[in-house]
Amino acid sequence: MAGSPVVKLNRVGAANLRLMDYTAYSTEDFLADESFQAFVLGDDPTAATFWRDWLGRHPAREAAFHEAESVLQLLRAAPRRQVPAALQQAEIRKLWRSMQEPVGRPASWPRLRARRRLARWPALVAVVLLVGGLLAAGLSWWRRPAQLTYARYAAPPDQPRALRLPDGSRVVLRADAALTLTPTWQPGQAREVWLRGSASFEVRHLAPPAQRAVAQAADNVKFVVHTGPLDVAVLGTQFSVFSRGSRTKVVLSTGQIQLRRTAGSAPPLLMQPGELVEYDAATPAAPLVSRAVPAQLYAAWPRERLDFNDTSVADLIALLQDTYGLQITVANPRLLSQKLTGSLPTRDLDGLLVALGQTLDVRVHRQGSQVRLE
Amino acid sequence: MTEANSAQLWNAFRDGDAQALAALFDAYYPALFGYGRKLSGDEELVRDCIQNLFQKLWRRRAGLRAVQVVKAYLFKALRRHIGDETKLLRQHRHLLPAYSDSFEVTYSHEEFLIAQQTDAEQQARLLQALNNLSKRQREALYLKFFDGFSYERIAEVMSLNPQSVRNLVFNALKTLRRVLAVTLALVCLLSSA
Repeated sequence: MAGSPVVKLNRVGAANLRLMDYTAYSTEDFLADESFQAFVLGDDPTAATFWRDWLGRHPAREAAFHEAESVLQLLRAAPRRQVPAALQQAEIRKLWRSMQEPVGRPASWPRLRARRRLARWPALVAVVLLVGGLLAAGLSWWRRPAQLTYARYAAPPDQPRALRLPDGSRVVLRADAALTLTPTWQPGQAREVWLRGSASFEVRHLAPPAQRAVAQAADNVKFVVHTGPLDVAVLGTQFSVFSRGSRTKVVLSTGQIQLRRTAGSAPPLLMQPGELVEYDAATPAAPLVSRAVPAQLYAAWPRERLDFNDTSVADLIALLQDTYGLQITVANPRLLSQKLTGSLPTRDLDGLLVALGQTLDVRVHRQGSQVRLE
Repeated sequence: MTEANSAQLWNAFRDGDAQALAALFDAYYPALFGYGRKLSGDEELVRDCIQNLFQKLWRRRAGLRAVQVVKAYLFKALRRHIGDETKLLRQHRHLLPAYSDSFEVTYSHEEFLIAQQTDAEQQARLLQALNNLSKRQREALYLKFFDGFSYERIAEVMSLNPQSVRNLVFNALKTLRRVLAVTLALVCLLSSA
């Protein structure tokens, strides 16, 4: 089919194999044509050549051609969002464990919530059937790990959500973020959560008070946030994670962070309070970049208002760029060194930008994530 | 992973090669998870269904036939699993009121390339137009545009006949064209630039 002028016309109710005359094609005819679809979606280079040539020879059809092309372009998929690597690893481990167990053990299925409440007897039946197998399998059966089930907490698309974790730590999820973890934590178990999106953390310090260095700490007193490309390990700390598109930023307020990339074997980076470290998945091999920021500003967003005292406009602009993924340009560079004291509403970005414009006495133009102050 | 590779792995796994099944799991997990999450908003449910599916495949490997397109087979099986589980959840809704039992594709803006070139208002209009399409149209579009399945494979996954799938996609495109005239003009401009 690809590239040849003899194409099946796949329209509702008609299928014809004949030398096609596309000169009478309407927008809908283009839309229905599978080789045209393949050309726009980039799936078929031969079809692409054919259709581009054809358009060159039939400029009269340009309007219909481009209109159909535009409809199909609307649906082109952005690169797929990653599944957290650690989650996929946990799942494959589960699969391996079950593949190595003797056949006939329904107790190893992850039980769905509806079923958990309903019936316990299938597990008992499985135990009875396996008494014989037990003698052969030995004691290792008794020590099989408890089934890992995860709970997922998500913030709605338009507002943050505050959570309390099983160890008493607090998290505020930004709008549209989600946190996954096992709903109970055993004492002596490493505290781990998986984060998608942005959030602010206040982690309880479980190690002995004298122990402050994360690198030397045992796994069972650490708290680890898996953000996908980065693992953030802390003892007892206040910090925030901002994830948007391919960029992940970690800002530390108090305590210490050990930051590690999940891929590769680069040594971990130790962060100090007042530091922001940025990772861009578009350049995964680049070293982690660190800079100093007023950390308390970065931790302010869960509250209704962002209060700042003698803060330079440059720092404020950096804050907005980091935490909202904006790109801000100013017409007058002298604006950047001005210092401000005041407060901005945080609930809604446009409201914040309007208030910022008023505070600075500039006009704010916003197009998507591009903002200009003049 | 090419169709030929996965067909080979599928045969190896049927013969008892656990590593082969693990390789298929790793290769298709993101796509399966993405599709499952689209159908059911509940990630925990999707994870459990994928896990159950692969464990069941392992247990029943001796009785499985050779498969031409492994990806389509897995999608179809996952769809059935998720459908069954959401039905079960619906039946027990009185026990578990908070759980999502949706079984339809809903689109959000970060999934589309065009989102990077148009502003929030255009994106909102596109999403509204898409999410107003019928459930089956949305699912057929997802399988075609996000997973690149052919019409025959989409028909296999959704248990329809291929002509019905063509109609679903064609009608969806017609509706989008009608509803999004303004956005289209903008896209025309951008792509000819």
